Amino acid sequence: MNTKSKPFIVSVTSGKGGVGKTFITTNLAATLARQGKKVLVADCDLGLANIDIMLGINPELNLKDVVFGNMHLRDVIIPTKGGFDLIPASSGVREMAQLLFEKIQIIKDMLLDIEGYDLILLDTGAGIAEVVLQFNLLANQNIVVINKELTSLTDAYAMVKVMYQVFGRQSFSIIANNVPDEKNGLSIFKNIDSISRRFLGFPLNYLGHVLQDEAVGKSVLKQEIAVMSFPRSRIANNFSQISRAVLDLKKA
Amino acid sequence: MKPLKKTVQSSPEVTFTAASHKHLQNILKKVKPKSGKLLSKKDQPEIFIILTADIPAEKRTELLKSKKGITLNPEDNLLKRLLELEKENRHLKSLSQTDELTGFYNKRFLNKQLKIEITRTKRTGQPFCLMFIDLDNFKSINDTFGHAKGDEFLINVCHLICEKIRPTDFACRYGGDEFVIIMPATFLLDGISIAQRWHNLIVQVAAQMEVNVSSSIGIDEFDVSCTLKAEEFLDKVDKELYNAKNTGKNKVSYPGERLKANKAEEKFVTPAEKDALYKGSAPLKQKRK
Repeated sequence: MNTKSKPFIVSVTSGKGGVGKTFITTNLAATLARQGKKVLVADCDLGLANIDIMLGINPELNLKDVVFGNMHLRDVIIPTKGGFDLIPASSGVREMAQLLFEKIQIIKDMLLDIEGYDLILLDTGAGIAEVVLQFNLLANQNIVVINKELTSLTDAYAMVKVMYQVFGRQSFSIIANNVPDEKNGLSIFKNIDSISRRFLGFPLNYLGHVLQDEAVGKSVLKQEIAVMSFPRSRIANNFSQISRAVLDLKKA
Repeated sequence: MKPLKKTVQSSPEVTFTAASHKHLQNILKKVKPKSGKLLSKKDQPEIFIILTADIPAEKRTELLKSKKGITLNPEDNLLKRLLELEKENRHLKSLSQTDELTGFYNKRFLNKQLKIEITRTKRTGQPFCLMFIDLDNFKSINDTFGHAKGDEFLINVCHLICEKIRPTDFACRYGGDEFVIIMPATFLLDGISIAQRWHNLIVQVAAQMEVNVSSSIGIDEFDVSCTLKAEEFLDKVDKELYNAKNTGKNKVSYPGERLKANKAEEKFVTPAEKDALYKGSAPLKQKRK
């Protein structure tokens, strides 16, 4: 366990909504936790947070109490059944959906101050709103989730492009979610990778794929974490591979 | 009114500058004077009078202890003088931040407001724009037709700007024929189209008055990542104005690089990129069939 140095911050983002950011975040966090890493997940979809729903919990305090109350980020952290800790956020609070830049900076500064974790995973909202960009900017590494839909590819590319144009980011990792087979995942990655090389001038990094699996739908319905409910499933295997790739990024 | 006047003569007077009208009403409720008068907010927004003849002694001392109250001798016309001073004060305040000829804000106000806008941008993340307008060949009016005509031209331009300016923007006279406009919560793309509008309006005023004057405008955006101080940013926009002046005048100059980035942000993914993504996915689709 590496608690003395600063945690490695990874954001999970996508551009398009509904491609599985929160699913990837919770399952990746649980996988890393099972490997003995100390992991903190922050729900950074400030307007429509839903990690708490995915986990079937109802936290008393959340990010809203940090932004509009006098709480510190540390005060709202709770342990979860996934073996990782969570900073929950609120859903349906309009003020949280349109935070002043200043408030976003306060959250960012507090996140940077947190110690005692190997990794912090930031689950961002959809879209390319300033708040999403700011959390991506804060992270050491951005994971962009794509699936086989053309709209998800276009939106993922838009995210990469705006992070590059506005902040000069040139390092992005891709996870292909909900793909029929390994080959298909690699093929959609190659597509977006070649366009990034051609138009932006830098390659993307492939972290791996998550297969289509009925275990996913089942566990989401039951508010459980798929890799824990089905530890021997193909997707648990996928997440093991992805988690190794993430830890490699951390070392690099 | 007459009985009231009698009371005034027979009792000491207390003038209150209360924090608010409501605040004073609360005080009045507490002390319950039988013959109290509260000047309406409209008459005197900040000065209120309580006649204290019937206020019990202990309550009166309490009132007088209040930091906001002062006792007045009714024989003295101090109250009248205070009111006049207050009026004078307000007049001076407006003088201290407006330009006499045009009624625009002056340089002092500009410097103050610019700092406020920078702070606001850092808080909200919303950029603002600032533009320098300088009249080309303005001296020629003064030289040919005299200063009165020059002043008339300035006043006409300023009237037009006052009429058409967005209610949230600030127009300031920076120097003789130099104006600065601060546009809060404005992106450069918006700012440029507004600059172009001012540029055209000034051409119209010049045509109406049959003088050969145009304008050079420099404009730039202050966004949340900008670390310049107020004076440095002002200098930067001033340089943009000089760029307009040095490249033939009669034009709007803006930092092209930034606009390019802005335009790209508008159209995140270009048609060529979309096309490439689509083509890249096409074989996949066929395979699935």
